[in-house]
Amino acid sequence: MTRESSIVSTITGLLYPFIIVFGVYIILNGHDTPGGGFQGGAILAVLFIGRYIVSHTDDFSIHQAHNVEKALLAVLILVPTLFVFGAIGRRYPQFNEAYLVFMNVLIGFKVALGLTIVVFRYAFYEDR
Amino acid sequence: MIEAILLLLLILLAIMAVETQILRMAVVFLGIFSLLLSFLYLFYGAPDVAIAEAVMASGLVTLLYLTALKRYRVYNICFTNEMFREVDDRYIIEGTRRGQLLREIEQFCISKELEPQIVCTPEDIDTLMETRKYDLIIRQEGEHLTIYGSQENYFIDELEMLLILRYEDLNTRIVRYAEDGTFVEET
Repeated sequence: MTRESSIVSTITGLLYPFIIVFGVYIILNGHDTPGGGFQGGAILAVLFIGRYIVSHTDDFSIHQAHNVEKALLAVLILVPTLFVFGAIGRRYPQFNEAYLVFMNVLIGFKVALGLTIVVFRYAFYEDR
Repeated sequence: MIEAILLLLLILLAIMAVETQILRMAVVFLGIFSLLLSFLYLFYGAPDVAIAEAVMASGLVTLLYLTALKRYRVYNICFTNEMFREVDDRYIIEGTRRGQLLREIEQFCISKELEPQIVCTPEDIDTLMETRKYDLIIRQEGEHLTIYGSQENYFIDELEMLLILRYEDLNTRIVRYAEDGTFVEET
């Protein structure tokens, strides 16, 4: 895996749009079909990790990803709190589905960033 | 029927993953194991768990294991000396040549991304061969050095080249042994 293989990188490049569409599909349809934020996020994480495995890029800023993940965690706590204590679900029942989709999207991005950070930290800093 | 085949394959793959000698193959077997397990989850009507299993266990964990294998490989080296019990301190302090050789091998291991782990024992070579805990056994008898390594270990060929290049004058002999413990004749 030290050299770049053109076959592997071409095939991975062809697969990227499918991985993105599949991950986003699983996230967006998580509330009424199998799947959800966690599974879709894991599929999206494969995108970044596969990119690292194939071409050994190190232009991914772990620090920035960490900050974005922390912000997402804050939003992830804030949104259900507002939704539940503001009784929005009871007052406007048409927002229930939108709320579920929004939460799934948040969880999906957080899981994708988290798994990517785990693998990248492991690959970069646990060097012996 | 499909269920029985899948379950039997799971047991077979688990045994293969445990019994194989090569760690990389064990990782691949575990990946196939997880994929079959996710099929089985789907078969039992848990598609949610099946997706999670397929993505996490079969994809990410396999990638993590492969990265870990690339980073961390332990190489056990055993140094044995027939006169270990009778030596006095002068010999140990003076034994610079031994130290230098060991350091050389250690550097070589690190350059190959292996984790060298050197053990010095007074034990007999036959006992060491029986336990089969070490990848490389270096045995010293006076001025003669004998290096025992497994036949399947391609690392030992490179080590032999290094020793020939660096220490032409040293009395080294490299002996390879087969899987069942018999020594392979040198060509």
